[in-house]
Amino acid sequence: MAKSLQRTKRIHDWVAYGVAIFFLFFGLAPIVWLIITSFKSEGEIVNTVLTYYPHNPIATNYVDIWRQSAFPTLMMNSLQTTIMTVVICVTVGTLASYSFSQYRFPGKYALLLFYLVVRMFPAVLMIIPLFLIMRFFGLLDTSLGLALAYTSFLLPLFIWMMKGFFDALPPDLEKAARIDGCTRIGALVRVILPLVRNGLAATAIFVAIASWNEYLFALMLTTSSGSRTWPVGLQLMIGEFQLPWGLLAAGGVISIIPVVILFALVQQTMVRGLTSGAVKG
Amino acid sequence: MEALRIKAVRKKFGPLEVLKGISLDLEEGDFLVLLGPSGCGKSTLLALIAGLEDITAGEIHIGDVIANDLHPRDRNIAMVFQSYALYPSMTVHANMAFGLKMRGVSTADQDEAVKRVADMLDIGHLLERKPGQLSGGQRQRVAMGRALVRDPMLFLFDEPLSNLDAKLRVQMRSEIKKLHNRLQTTVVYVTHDQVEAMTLATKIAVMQAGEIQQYAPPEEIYNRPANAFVAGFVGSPQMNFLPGRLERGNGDPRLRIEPANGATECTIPIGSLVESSLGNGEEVIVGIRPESIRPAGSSSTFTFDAAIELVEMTGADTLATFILGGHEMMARLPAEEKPALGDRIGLSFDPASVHLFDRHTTVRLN
Repeated sequence: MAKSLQRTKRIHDWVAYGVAIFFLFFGLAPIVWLIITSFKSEGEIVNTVLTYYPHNPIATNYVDIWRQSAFPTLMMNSLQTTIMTVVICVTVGTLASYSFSQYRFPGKYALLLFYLVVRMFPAVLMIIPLFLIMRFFGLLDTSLGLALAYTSFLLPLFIWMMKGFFDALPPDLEKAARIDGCTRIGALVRVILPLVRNGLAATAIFVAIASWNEYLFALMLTTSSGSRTWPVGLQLMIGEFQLPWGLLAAGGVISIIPVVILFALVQQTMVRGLTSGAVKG
Repeated sequence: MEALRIKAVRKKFGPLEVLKGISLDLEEGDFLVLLGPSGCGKSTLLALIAGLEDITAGEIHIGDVIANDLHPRDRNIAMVFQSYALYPSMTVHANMAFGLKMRGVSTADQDEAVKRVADMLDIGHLLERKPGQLSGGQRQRVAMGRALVRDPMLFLFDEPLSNLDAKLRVQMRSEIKKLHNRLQTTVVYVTHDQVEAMTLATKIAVMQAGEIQQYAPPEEIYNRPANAFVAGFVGSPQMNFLPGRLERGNGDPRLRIEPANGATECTIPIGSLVESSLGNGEEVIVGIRPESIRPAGSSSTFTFDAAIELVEMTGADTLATFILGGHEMMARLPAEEKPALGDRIGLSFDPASVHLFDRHTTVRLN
């Protein structure tokens, strides 16, 4: 009896590990393959014989994409757009989510719900109206325009996530600070923000990564190299007669480096932040 | 001089009127306790005094200025919260000095003030710690220290002892009392604990449903409650209430207790307890405090026999539940009285200690 129970448990363990490893492979394999490809020569990539690792590893793909294409400009544009998005979201979103969390005002719940509703529509639906709005304000093909477009779907997310952190704080803190001489904004900056800085950092980085990787809006709202971001630029390198796999792979690897670094820096805080906000603890 | 004057203050949250015209005056050095059950509006009144909520109508004067439109920082007040509300990211020293810093006091003066108060409260050794590293009692002291450092006109306490365990609560209660005796500061203190109210206050405002039911010194609240609500809220165990009827026949007026559950009737002679304006047959509520009921044999004038339903020993005294005229009542007897369950024992009380309230308006009649 005990033996068979133990055997069943062992089988369950094996199945669980099997499923986990399968999905890990499924998720990581393309990235690993991207990295492998980026070190292969053009000849090795298009060869009919498949090689699982670069037989003659080279770095020319990296040198070429950095030196001979507009890739550095694309990266700078992406950086600019991302910074703008994060600044807007952090400034507006922090104030908004704090009010939603701590104050009573008419229309509060309707507004919060509305933010969620916005998230329910596919982004494709918003693109044409957004395009028209941006054209009207002369924001088409600018980093600011793109950043504003990103806030349309990232700001609600930011507000909902930050509200969770603010909800977990005792409401008396702000009152104490006000009696001690702070204004409401002063209390927020001096007393409240230091307490939610982990959550704030995690949420801001969440927004930064989403904005850095965004493709669809960038494709529609940018038309020149003046504001085009790297996902679009990389895609446009695919020409009618050529498909520079090596360069694309190198570009892809370079582009995910900032994300990996950011995530590595804050992953502990981020996981802790996200869960602590979730369970009010 | 008056430290606080509240005139016809009302507060509405949307359609809900939480405070329905509160008026009271407080002399400098007084210790006012706002006492009432949860939801009675006492914490809202405190928030209005502090300036944390806006007043719907009425006036609040702090010292000799109208504070209605003043920012909390300009009201010359300090507040101690139930949750302590210490700033978790700052040290104890920084917590205590924060209010001074915000008012532009020099660092040297801040340090001196913090040190003076820290010594007074015996928290000098905790100054470099963060609130998270302190026990509940220590946090409570720091919260009081933060208020004392500023030396304000008015101290506001919002149920400051509710989060402490029973032993610590009694200890801190005495310390607050000593502190008040020594510093003679003006305090407004919110609590739902009537023992805290009775022990600390120089004046109590008993509140219910957004109105002050009685505003008087503690002895008066206890000895002459203005209505049945105050009588029932203050005192533990609660005052016994019996439905009765005033009878003015030939001779002394008497109270006829209306029997319940088919019990036999009982009448209490009350002598000159009530004004002659009260008419014959007036419907009243008869209130008798459990501690007014003694074992029979003393010099009291009203004696009766009652069957004991329940006996609870507290150590200091014996709480006996019995039935009189079909109504359940409680007596607080000396500890050496140990009646057995079901015993019929003789009990008595002085009719002069009886409280009478109007059956319909619940207002005090004697």
